[in-house]
Amino acid sequence: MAVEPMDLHAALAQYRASVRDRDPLDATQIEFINLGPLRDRYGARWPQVRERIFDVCDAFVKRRLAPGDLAVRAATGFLVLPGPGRTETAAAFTARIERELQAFFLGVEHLQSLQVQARHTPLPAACLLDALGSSAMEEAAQAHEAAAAPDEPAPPVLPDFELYFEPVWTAASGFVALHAAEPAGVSSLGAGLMRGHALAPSAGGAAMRMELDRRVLMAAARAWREGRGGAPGVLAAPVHYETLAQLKCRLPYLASFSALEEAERKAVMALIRASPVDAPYTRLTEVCRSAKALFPRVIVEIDLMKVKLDRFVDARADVFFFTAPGPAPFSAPALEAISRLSERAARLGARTAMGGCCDAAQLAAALDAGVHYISGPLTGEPARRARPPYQLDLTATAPGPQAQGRQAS
Amino acid sequence: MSQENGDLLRVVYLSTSLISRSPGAFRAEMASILEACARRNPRLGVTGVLIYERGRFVQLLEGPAEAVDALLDDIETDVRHGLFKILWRTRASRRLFENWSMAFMDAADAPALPDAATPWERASPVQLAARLAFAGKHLSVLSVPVSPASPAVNTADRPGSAYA
Repeated sequence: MAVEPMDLHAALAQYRASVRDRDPLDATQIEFINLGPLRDRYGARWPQVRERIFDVCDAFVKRRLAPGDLAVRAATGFLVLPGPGRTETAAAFTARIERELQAFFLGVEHLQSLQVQARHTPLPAACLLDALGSSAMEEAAQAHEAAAAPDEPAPPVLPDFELYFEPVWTAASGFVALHAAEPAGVSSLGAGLMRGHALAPSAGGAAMRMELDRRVLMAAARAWREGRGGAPGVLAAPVHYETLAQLKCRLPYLASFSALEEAERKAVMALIRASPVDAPYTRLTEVCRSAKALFPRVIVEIDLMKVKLDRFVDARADVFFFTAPGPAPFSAPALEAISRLSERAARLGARTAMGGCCDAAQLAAALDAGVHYISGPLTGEPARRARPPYQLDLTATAPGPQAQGRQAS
Repeated sequence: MSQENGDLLRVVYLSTSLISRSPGAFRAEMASILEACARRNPRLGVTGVLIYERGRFVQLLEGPAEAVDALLDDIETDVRHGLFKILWRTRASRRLFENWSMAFMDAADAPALPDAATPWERASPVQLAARLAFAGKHLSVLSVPVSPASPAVNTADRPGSAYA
């Protein structure tokens, strides 16, 4: 239970009694849920909103505590004392709660609604995720989609798909430890084999893309779980920009994380696709931070020649991913764009990745411009299973940077 | 239907869900509805329970008359609601619900409702109140306390205590 100051001594006494028979190491594992990022976000307004934020967090934390667990308010967070019956580690337990808390609070849209519209209302932000991730919601949603409605036009159908995993090579290590997942299936509209978000008929709108993203996330986590015996490295799951940009799609998508195991959450990265070139700074920040709150890493797909990187200055993206700008030799503007991207991404603390790499000349140009990750035909075709991490020596076949520079000039 | 004298307005309506059956639409629209209700209703001092049952919405709203009527106007014109019908409208001096909550009644694991055989449309006010209180108490997936600063809140009754 999360406790008020007046109950603190009694709760601590009760907790001490509950862990009396445990060995000293177990009995002293205390973890801290850090709300520092929220304090930073609010800046000078933090003293005014602190109590309300804590009230919401208190309710959130309380719902996740089992009998015997204890959470105590501290200056910028909660001290969590896991009870003797909890099987997961204190660190894993608190990390899970912290990540879920940040998923809510770091969305600009949600913060605004808290500030402007609910000044005196203890909004049940955390409870919304619980409700949307509940089994009752799951059953109702499935029943709703399955119900026959003879007087309605047939709704668009999300076709079955299989996941393919494209190997991503890391220049620094020479290893392939990351695979990018992509769904592929046969469209119900008779359009043949479709990949990615093209699987979701446009008539279904953002909600249908969200549903595809949910199912892909679940399938990627399942694939990782099934391959865990072979240490499959990490996976990147695609998620459409609109899934994270629209609150009504973001909430169900984030709620689906409740079905994932802790280890699965750590092993799946977000690959945000289809970000509009003209998306505003606030929306890009909100989208990336929403993903960042639950995914360990966030990769953002960009248009190399059109991206406005200054709009990502507070997004905390980890990797900017672009597609190779045509066959080698790259044009001078393209080479300049790659170098500029690498430099500016580095200033943001991010890395760069190039997809669609076909040959050694493209590879050399990319490496010369500072690209960190490479994928495409050169690194291997997408496969039904993600292999355990393996070494791949691409540099042995690539011409030197100077040779590539001559080709481009 | 019995009429009470009081400062609160209590309304129960029934509507048909017009949410698209395409994949993802239900989750997205329910997220939108829940987020809006959870944010708005307590601030307005409106409590009650929203039930989704096999393609239909039933909601009890109670609070200041102006706020409840404004919400009803919004709901009646909401494209997600069709065949909107008021089942019970009355003045009340005390609330049946201290919170606003949401419940699913077609979930497989939901306990059987009292008097489940009676259609909503033919249920008496007492049956409606009992059924809604039961759902709010036992089937709720989300419960939002009304704001202490909101108008005309009378928390003398516990949620659903009159009928549960």
